[in-house]
Amino acid sequence: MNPDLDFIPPPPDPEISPEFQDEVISRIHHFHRRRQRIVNLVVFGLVLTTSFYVRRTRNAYREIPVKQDARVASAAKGVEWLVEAQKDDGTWDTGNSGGHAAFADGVSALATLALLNAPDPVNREVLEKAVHSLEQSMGEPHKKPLQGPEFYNWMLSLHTLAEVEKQMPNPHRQKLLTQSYTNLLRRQLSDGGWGYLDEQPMGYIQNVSSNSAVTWWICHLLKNRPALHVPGAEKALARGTAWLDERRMTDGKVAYQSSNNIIADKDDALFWMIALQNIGQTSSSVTGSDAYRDFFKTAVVQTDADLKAIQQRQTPDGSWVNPQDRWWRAGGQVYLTAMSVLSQVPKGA
Amino acid sequence: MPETDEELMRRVAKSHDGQAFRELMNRHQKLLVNHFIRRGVYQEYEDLAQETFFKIYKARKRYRTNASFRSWMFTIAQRVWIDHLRKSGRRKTREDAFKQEPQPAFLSTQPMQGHDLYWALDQLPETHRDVVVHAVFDQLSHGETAQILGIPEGTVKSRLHNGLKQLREIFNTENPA
Repeated sequence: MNPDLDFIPPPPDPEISPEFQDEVISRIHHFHRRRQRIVNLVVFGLVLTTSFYVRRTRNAYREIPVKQDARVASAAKGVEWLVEAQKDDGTWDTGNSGGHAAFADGVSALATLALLNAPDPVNREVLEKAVHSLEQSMGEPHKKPLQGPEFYNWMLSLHTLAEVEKQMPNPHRQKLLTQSYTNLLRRQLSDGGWGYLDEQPMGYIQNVSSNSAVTWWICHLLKNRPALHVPGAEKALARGTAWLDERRMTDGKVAYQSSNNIIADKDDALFWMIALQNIGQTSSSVTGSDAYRDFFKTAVVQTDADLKAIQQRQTPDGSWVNPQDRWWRAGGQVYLTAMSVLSQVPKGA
Repeated sequence: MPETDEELMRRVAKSHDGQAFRELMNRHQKLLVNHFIRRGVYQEYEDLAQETFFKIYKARKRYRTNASFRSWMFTIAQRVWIDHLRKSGRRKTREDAFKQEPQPAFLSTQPMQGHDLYWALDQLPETHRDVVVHAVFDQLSHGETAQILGIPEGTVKSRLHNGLKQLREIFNTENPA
């Protein structure tokens, strides 16, 4: 102590209890326990409030019936049937469901397109299997002859794979598609259109001459192709479109070929395919006798009556069955179901 | 080399180190108890010292690592003291404590004795006594005392000078040479 403070006596030394420190530590423990209890209480309160709120919200949802869009429900059920009907190798069987085995690849492409446009995304494994099988069926595109059923199989596979590529780009598939588009360009005829290249082309007309249906399909494929470098594609598309425009008649009908000996009107798929380029130009309703035609019709003008008519023909298992359909003997139940699903969700057409 | 108070407090703040906290109590419990006795707490001085340690623990996260631990401890003790005064109404004198049952053991047996430090401190004005207790007995610097009591450093110096002068007069009067 400072010498100036010498006058101050040393203070007595008060005795400190031996429990002094233990009592402080005990208070600290008590403090922690109390704080933990408060935290627990707050958490419990939050959980209680949240569960009460969730229950109230859930009850509110229960009280208000969900108004499910009928067309979504119908398409979802159809897709479910298609998934069930898929074979282990990813394809669909046409021969045992009313159709013809020769169209199995094309019908599998339609089914895959339906899965791709499903209202709820389908299992990725199911889709990948289907896509893989389509890629296998394409084989070597530059060697494809464009004959009868093979033409449809190939067109539909190409169309579907192009849609797949837009959603899931893949280098292998890009190579396949580029070869396919190049093959199509090589087959363009001198008048700008495309036609069947076989001797017995679906019973319409023999030998090499441009055809509105084939030309429309190839123009459609070129117009909607994914971002790929296909030299000459734009020029070929312009020539093909010009050829198609020339097939339109003044009364709105469409000629199948240059000779005008076969005319397509509202009862034909071709009429509606061409009409896609001038949406809303005409009205009509679905016929129920040509799912292919009805699909294009709903792609042009989709009315509630059309959708309802298609839904009413759906069977309880989710598929569509109609042996009276124009293409039933070729595509059968899988074709009809895929086209009906796509009519309900008419995108990717 | 033993750890400094500041190092121990850092351990307490960082990792709730109970051993470090006990060591801090070992070092300062007597100092705190005497601090409260000198300020006139003759019965509950242990309670207030414990309360101070408890508040130190609660405020451990706010301890600034560059601050002196002793200075920080007495800042908290000052708050405990103010809370105590607010609750008990007024400060007790040595006479009050002497009349209480049981009497504190460390007080002299007579109610008033000239050499009794606590009695002498009781004679000082409260403002002077606070400064003397902090600056002399708690051995804090003038700056720290000023900070704890919330007064200018110059006021600490003048009150300390006057307080010690009065204290010397009390002792000289009561204990003439």
